[in-house]
Amino acid sequence: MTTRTHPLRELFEAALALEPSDRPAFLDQHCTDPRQRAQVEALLAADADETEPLPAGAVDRLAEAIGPAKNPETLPAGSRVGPFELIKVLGEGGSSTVFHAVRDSEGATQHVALKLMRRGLYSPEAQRLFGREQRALVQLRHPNIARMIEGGVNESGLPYIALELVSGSTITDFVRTRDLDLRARQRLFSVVCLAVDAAHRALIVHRDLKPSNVLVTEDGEVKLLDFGIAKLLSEDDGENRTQMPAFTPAYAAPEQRDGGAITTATDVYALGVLLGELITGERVNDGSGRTPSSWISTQSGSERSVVVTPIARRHVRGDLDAIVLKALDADPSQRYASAGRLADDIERLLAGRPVSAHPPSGWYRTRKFVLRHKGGVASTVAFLLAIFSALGIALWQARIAREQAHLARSESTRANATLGFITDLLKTASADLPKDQRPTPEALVEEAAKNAREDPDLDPLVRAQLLLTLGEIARSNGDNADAETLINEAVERERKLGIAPSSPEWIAAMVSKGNLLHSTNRSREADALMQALLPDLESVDTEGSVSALMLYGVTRAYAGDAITASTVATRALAKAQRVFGPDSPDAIETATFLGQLCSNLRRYREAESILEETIARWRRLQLPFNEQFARSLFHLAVSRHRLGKLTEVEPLYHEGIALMRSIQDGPFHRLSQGLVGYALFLTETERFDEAQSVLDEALSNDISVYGKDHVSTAIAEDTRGALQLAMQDPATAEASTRSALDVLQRHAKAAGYEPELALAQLHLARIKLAQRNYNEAASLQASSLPEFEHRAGTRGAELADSLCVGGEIALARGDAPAAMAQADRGLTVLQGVEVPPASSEIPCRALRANVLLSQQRHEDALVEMKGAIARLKSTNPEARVAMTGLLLQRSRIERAAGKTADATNSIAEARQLAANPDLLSPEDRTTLQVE
Amino acid sequence: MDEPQQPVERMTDPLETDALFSQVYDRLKAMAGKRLSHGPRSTLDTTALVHDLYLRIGNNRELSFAHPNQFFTYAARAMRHLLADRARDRMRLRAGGDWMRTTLTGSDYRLALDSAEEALAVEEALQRLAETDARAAQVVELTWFAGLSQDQITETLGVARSTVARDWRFARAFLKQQLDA
Repeated sequence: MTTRTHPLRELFEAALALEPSDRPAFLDQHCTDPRQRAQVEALLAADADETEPLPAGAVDRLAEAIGPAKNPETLPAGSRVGPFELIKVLGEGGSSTVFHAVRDSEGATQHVALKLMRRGLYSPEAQRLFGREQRALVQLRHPNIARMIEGGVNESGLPYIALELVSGSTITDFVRTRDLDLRARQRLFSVVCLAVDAAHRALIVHRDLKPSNVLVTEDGEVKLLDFGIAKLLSEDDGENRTQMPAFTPAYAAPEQRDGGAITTATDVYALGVLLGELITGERVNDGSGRTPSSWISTQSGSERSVVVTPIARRHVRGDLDAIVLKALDADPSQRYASAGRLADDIERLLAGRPVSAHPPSGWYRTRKFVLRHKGGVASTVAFLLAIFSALGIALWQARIAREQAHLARSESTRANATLGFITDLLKTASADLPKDQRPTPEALVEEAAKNAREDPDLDPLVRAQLLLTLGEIARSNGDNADAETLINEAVERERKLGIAPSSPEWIAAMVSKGNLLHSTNRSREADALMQALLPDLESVDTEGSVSALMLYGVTRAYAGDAITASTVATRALAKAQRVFGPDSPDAIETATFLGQLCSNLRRYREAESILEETIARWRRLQLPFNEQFARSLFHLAVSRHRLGKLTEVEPLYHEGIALMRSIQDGPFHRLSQGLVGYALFLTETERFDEAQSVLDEALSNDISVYGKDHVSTAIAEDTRGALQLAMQDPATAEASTRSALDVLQRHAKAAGYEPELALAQLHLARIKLAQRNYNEAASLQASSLPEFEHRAGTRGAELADSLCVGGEIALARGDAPAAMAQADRGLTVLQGVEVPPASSEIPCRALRANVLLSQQRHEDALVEMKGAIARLKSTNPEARVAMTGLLLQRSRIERAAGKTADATNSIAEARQLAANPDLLSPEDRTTLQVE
Repeated sequence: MDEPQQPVERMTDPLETDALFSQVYDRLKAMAGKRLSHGPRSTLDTTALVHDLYLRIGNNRELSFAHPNQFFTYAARAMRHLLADRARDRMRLRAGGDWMRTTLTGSDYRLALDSAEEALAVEEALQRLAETDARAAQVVELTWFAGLSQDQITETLGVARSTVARDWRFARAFLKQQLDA
């Protein structure tokens, strides 16, 4: 530092260097200002004193005691949030403001406590979590829990929650003002425990239990506030995460402070603190492990004591001490297994029976797991902790389940709930970590699987399900090889256990296996698997059976069995609506699938109506705008495109593509599907340049995701070939299409993409036709035909296209009757198509007109042209190039018929359209130039 | 046309700030934990404080740090300001009626006000110290608000160990005198 030392410091340091006895003389000499001298002497005295200016940790304690800074913006009374009108502010928390709010509900005024969050939910993941939590909380009904009425997002995008408005005093104030005796306090506490236990059974953890959240009404009724709200409000997107989950340090369990996994045991800890406070008047959470009774002795006479009734230490010592200490164990596994167990012990104590609180049993080993991994990266440890704690809970749940073996129902219910919990944990825990610190999913799954296999305490069925879940996670990470190993292992284990084919566990395993087979291009095997399962599904109303039906629908569709596919999917939808309700995520997901299936099956009307409804429901329920939603948008776009509603297509593609891009930066396999569809739309509406750039993106996206040698890349390449031909560049088109064809010839069969192969053959046939290579064109067209004939139910339009190309080749070779036969057959096929696309019908009519022209049947030819032109005008008014082609074709017929004036008019009409001449066929260009 | 010469300072990539932050965050947290484990009863809120801090850093993307050490300097300063801001807010809202009802119980409320007063006194003392000896004040900041040891401060400030020890001794006496007054 270059700044000059302050004289005060100079004097202080110079004096310090001297013996204390020499200092006065030194100061006499160097410090003449009496004020300065007094300062220096004060400094010297302070230096001699041993105490520190601030004790260690003072800053953190101050920060905690002061609480978070207040957010200055507060909505004024009378503002609206969702359907509610704000009356006044009730309180402010770190991340939210609580208002007294009202709404009119069927003539009556409903009063609520409305919590408005300060930060919006920006990521799809955060929105998904908010939605899910909120639905879970609305379903939580218990007389001692303040009801969550509804949640939503206000106009500025801030989430809010409306809760039952409770008036009462905190439980600690209540026992004090009513001067309740120890037994009465314990009874009150037992009610609290049972309420907490009820919530835990719904897998909802409070996370912030403290006296101000445990109110007692005038009538002595316990009401727990803010159940699960801490989690609801703390869920945030990983990128912009700025606040830790809300909790109150004085009641927080060690794992909460350390950022560990929050479980039901966390609430048990807080209950322990509360019990200690109820019986001693003091918070006993000081980490000292001291017994409550010792608090009583040391704190008696203390002015901080809030206990009015002196509670004799002897009443507390022993069992009550043991109970509190067991609840307060630093190791979550050593606490009461549930709040209900804690209540049991209180009841036992009140009844004079022995309590269960006893020294640690030692089965829980999460700690050891973590210690073993402490050598790794610090952040990975935090994440592993979360996983292992979750596994620990699974073990715990399994143990509870075994203990209650007579309650066979509850065993599977609990196990399922646990597995769901773990899945979510694995999926979301990594979002809490900064991107660069997230351990690889592969490593996590591998580690978790290892523990699942090796743990001797694990129930065999739970173990199998755990492996299955891990396999599912591996699959969702795109790690198919690991997924297969895990899933097969799970299936094998379940088989050995001999569980019933209709059991939810077996169905779930089969669905996992089937999904894996299907997604790894083994749809036929998946199909066989599901078909075998079918008889057992009818009587089972579970999520798994809905999924199984859905998958079977998909595999049937892949096998080309459209009728069974849609029947099965319709059954799946009915089942999902019956089991879960029409607004349930499962029903919506199934409807989405059915809508997409209908679109794939070319049943566009049905697809449009199902998808429109599903998308509206999706928006209304504020479900997360995820990949699935984007795909629905794409399918609705395709449906509308094919239904000829060309003006209602583009916004859907825009929304879907933007959404897909926001889901994943950079290459993303789901993106191309939308891009290719959009390019087809742009091609049909003759926005060729835009189509080209969209296809370029689709291709480069596919290449970086899959490489060149993949059907998806080939489809994009083939689409580009078709576009290039439409742009009158057969040479370039040939290169693209041949490259696509090459890939498809090798992979289409295995991947179930035979129609796409046939389509590429048909495209190349067109190119060869344009190049006047009729033999090759004819052979290619002939190879494409059987595939479309075989799938005429869904590929009628393509069949007609192929027939039309066959007819054009025949005509070019001078075989007019064969050409006419093909065109007529094409039109007949189109009559059987639900919504015959104009883009298929018009070329058939144009072909007929040309055949008629070659047969000198000019009038008939002109009638045909009239029909074709009218059809184009009404369906695709933007298609100026196509229209120009038809007008020029008409002019040639008119000229042949000797109607020179008409022919001139047609050409003038064509010129008026000012289509780019480069986009016209050579024949049309000649017609245009000759005039 | 040639691009005008850019200043040598490079813009910090937001992601890089994130990574830097998490690095410092872990260190701060670990250090806070270590330090407090030696102290008596502790109910720390280090995590929340560190996150508050991140909010500010996140809003100041233009900040770039040549070296993680520089971040400590900034982090300690920002945490100090945060504490003072919190304290001022709390004092200002003292008369705010029932706003605290749901977050704090009666005794907490008293404690909050007392703590706010204490925090403001600390802030004032630190300001006085900074006026007298800026580096000594920085040593205090790094000690109290970033939890650094004297060795770490030596490294952070790039000065001699003995200088830091002298700074601390002066600061300690100065602050005690201020706070006791």
